[in-house]
Amino acid sequence: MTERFEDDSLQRRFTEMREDESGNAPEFDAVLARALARRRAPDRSNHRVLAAAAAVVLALGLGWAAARSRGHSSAIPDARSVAAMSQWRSPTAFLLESSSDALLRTVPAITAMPPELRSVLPADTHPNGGPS
Amino acid sequence: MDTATLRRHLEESHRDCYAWALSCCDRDLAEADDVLQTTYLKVLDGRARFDGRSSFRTWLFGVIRHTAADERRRGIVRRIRHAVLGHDIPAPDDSSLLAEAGAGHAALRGALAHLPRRQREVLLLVFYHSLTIQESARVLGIGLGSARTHYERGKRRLRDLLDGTPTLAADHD
Repeated sequence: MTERFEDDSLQRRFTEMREDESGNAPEFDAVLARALARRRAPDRSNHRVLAAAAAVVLALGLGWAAARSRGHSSAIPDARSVAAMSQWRSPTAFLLESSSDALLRTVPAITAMPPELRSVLPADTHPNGGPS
Repeated sequence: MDTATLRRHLEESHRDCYAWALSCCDRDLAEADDVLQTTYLKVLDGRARFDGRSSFRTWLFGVIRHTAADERRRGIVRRIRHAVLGHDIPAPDDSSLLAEAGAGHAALRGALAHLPRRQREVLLLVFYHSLTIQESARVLGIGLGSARTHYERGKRRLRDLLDGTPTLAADHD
């Protein structure tokens, strides 16, 4: 039996099936009318999904805003906290203290011209920069 | 192409389109009707545009197949949603399916149902809708070589199924 013959046999079976089924299709106008009616009618299931999604987004937004405002209010310290922080001293601060700290806290006053500068500077120069 | 011309083309291909939509929806009449409605709206609204690269019917079959695939995906989501919410899933219209199966071609329909989707689609397009393999490839969005392979394998497997000969599992693709 050749393949061509088998193909023809298959083709015949399909053609018969097609001819038998050709009357099963609904009328074109009816299908189109249903399609147009569906276009006019809003899809409620889609609206419900959209409403649920919008509610979730709104809830998330409100939650985020509430968390943000709480974070802002806790970030502003009260007066007692500020005072406590300004008076705080590190437990190891004494290690940084030295005997020369007093010298660094005062500004030395130069009242007399150092002998090394007398030969360099003009005779009428005041040691503090003012007129002599 | 204006709306009146589009409408006329749709009407001319309507019977073929319905048969093809049924094949794409695994013979579910209600789903095929939905797919056809969506397809017609897509064409008339201009969401699917005919570019003239193939015949109108070939292009339309491609749109139907694409729409049916979308509908199948949505059906899966719908079933999951129904399962989660505990709703009943509307049962397909079995009475019409049974009536159709008993129309004298149950053996051929049964054998086709056992084929992998691609092989079944190529055979239906070629033998049922009289498209060439090249046109079938265009409808399915696959290459010509691939369509030929599906055609040959599907034909061999269909013959084996109709003759009651066991087929090779390797033909499943």
